[in-house]
Amino acid sequence: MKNTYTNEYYQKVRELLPEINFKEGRFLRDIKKVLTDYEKTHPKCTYEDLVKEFESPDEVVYNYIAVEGKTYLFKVLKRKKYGKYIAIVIISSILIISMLGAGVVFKSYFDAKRNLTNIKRVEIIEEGTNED
Amino acid sequence: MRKDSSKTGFMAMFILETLYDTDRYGYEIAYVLKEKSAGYISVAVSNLYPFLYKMEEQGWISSYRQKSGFKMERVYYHLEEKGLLELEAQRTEYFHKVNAINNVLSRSNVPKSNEKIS
Repeated sequence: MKNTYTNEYYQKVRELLPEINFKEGRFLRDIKKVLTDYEKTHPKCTYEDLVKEFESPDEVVYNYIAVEGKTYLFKVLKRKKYGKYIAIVIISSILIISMLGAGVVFKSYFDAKRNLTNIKRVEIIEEGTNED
Repeated sequence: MRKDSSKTGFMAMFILETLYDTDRYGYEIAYVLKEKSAGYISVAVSNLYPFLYKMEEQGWISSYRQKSGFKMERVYYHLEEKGLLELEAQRTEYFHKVNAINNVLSRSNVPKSNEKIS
């Protein structure tokens, strides 16, 4: 899309969608195609022209959600809610694992250092040879 | 601006009806609806897609891509057997509703306020 307004319109629709999965991806592709076609016939179109032709981005997204129905909205909200918990669990487990790993590394470092200081150096010097 | 809920309520029936005689692409469906209704049913093509996806999911319609011109590809929608049955069911229901509403609104057979209803 060359026109900045068509691009802006498309980005707004994209941002307003509650999630982007396979179905929303198809919807966005279709919207992009329609906008590109419109741009070809109306190269100097303004944002207002686009709203007049396709309705405002929030109307478009609202209509999409309305057609998909209540279950779609509940599913999205549920996924977002659980997604947050899953992210928290993943981040905290990464932090715990890395802290444990750092602990193990430090422990082995200090053990190695302590062992090095305990080493006694024994030198055996031979004094001459035995003559009968 | 007031949203006309009756239009969205009947949208599936309108789309199925436009696909009754031939396969059409999104813009064409919107255009036919506007032409047939003399401008009363004006749907932005962007608002048509969610309905088309839903109907495709339910097996009422199917879609296929067809080249039209240089670098142009259009998605055509085709009315399936299941969609035809749905269209007939929705049409029947619609005409029943209209009859019922007409009966409610008609003033010729309404009993006058001083007449007793037996």
